[in-house]
Amino acid sequence: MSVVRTRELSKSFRHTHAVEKLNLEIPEGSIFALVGPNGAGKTTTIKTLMNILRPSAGTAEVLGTNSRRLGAAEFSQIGYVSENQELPLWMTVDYLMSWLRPFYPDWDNAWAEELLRQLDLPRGRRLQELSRGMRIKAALASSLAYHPKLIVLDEPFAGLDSLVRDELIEALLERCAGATVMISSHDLAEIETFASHIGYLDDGCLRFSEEMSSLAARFREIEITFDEPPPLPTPWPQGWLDPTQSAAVLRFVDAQFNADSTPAEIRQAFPSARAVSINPMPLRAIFVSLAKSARKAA
Amino acid sequence: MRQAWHIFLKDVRRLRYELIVILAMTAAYAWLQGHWSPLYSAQNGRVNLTAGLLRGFLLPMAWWYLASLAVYGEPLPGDRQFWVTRPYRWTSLLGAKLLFIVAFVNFPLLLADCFILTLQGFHPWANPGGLLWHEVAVFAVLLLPMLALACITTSFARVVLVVLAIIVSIVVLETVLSPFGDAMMVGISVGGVWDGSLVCLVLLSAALAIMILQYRARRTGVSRMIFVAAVLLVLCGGRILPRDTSFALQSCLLKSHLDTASIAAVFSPGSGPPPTESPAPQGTVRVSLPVRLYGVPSGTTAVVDAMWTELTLPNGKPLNTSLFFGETPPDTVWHDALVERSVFERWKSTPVRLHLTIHLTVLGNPHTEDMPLGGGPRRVPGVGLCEFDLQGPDRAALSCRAPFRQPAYVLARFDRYDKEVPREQQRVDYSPYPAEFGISPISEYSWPVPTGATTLAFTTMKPLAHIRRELDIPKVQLAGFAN
Repeated sequence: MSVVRTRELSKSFRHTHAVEKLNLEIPEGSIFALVGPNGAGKTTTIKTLMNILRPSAGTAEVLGTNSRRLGAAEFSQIGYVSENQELPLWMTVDYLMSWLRPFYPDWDNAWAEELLRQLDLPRGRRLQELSRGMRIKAALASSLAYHPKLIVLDEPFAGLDSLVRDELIEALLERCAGATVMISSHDLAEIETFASHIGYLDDGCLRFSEEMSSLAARFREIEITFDEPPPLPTPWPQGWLDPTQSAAVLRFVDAQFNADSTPAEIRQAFPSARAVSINPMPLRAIFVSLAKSARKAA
Repeated sequence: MRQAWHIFLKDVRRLRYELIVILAMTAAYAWLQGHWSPLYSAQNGRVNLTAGLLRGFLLPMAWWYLASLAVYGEPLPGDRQFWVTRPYRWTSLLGAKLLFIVAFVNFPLLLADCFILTLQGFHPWANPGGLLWHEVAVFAVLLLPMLALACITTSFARVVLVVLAIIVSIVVLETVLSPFGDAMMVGISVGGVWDGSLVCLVLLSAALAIMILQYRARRTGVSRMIFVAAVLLVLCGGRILPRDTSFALQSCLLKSHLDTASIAAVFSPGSGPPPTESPAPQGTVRVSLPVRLYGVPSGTTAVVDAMWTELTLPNGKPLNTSLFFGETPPDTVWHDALVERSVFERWKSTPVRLHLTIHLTVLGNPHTEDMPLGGGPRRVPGVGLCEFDLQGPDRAALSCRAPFRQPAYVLARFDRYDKEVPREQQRVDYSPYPAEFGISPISEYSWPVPTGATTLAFTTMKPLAHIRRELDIPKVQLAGFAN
């Protein structure tokens, strides 16, 4: 069952198409990472899903409800934290928690206490006196204390030091078992450690959306060594991205790697290859090559 | 309801210091306005000035600020607000903001009204309709638009900018539309009341629409368009409401079944000289057209509320005149037109067509009360609490105050008159509402007193019917009526 589902979802601002015909499904219980370069449309997508922005076309369903009709009943099951959220800065951490408590039928006082303690939040201090990282922690604590079914985090780690990031991720993983998490982030190295699904958004379009394990399995960095630089095959195979050639070495990324067939395809394309090296790629390298290819195509 | 109360308590906590200041200002206003006095003295002058400053500027601004801050607790425009993804019910949020305004503006104002009325010599509960209407009017016409403006802005600085833009627009429109104003010079109160009502209705409707749209769906773009449309309507609407509509509305409200068929307006060239007037402005000629009223039922009197004249030249073209207004001595109504001298000289001997439209109010049920001029304040039934104030050796005034509104019609007749001050002076207010719009619950009005006058008689009357009469005179020579 999908917790989030969009159909041809589009959002434009005057003449700018921020999101175009987005078809996305986020399975229940998954940790879905929405990644992409700056300006790709991640925040716009999330804001449209959260009914903060109205879609220009298409529809979105969140927890089975049309995003335009999300109301108090649905939001009592959704925890949303964004890096650029404007919090009520005049409130103390304690008052923020006690203020929000009556809004949520499932508010768990004991858990809220534990969250405050584990995130090391200064309870009596006003939010305006806290650092950015502390404010995000406070927002996260206030969004987890009622066991939301869906947790939506928009760039929660942006600008935070690594210690705070680790604390947030730890808090998220330990305390959100069973919940569906949607997270947008630039921090691919962090995402890689815990995301179960990933979607790549570029220029408002969803390039792919799949499980992390299948993504990691189908991307490989290929390095081929030759005695003499060979002519490149024409046409260049579609799934081979970002080719670079230096002297007798050719490197590219295979976006459709198949352990059974790819080595043979390489041999067929480059019969003069002296050595072929096939290496798994970290998430960051995958997205750098994807972004470069997209830029070249544009 | 519980959620609305929860939000309300949060706003009280957040704005507690502002609330203390504004409640103190309201208390100061109540005390000063309660001690307001029409009598001329340095002490009274200071009290009256401070009360006026609080009533006319500081308190409305403070309320505006408070209303804005209350709304900005959960700001509506934008896409970064913390609260929009929290389980707020829009009805609770809107209810909380309205409750906040009622609790900290309307309720203190109600208490202030009662306090002021008591100190000014009136029983606060003697006119519950007026008291209620006064509160409702302040809430609907002043506070709701303030809330609505806050709903489409993100800071009080922007609110101030919007208000400044509106003021500039008013000045520009006044300049652009002033020729119409001069040309028609609508008569007394009826037009003004209904133009004002139309403005209030537009403001109230727009405010409600904006608040519901914003709190329900946060449609800031549409809401801002509604606001701009409402401002344009208010700026222009008060001037384009057809005058006949105003009078028709006024007539609908009267329940009296007085037979007015016998009342006729007749053009009366032989009515003698017109009343003394100040000279016509340079380059113009005053043309005074006499009209007599016949058939007014006994025990009643007819008052001209407004009169319009159209003069048409023999070639069918209208004759441009720059100003019309009515003058109403007891038996003859003199209607004056200022005509450019060059135009007058050209057409003065040529018969022109005259078309007159007269709106009249028939007044009845007269009640007369005598009052000696001097001594302390006196309660005059149907008029209010009246006080004679000797402001200097040759300057005196009679000041009356009444709770919420002045009577519909009061005629003050002094036992003497002098050059500056006529013997009879009337005040008319046909407003159908039980209270005038304003911050103060006291309606104050005054008359200049002729030198040497010792007594006066007040006559109050009630409007029984509003009627309209048309006169068409095919041939009038302007030369015969110039003065």
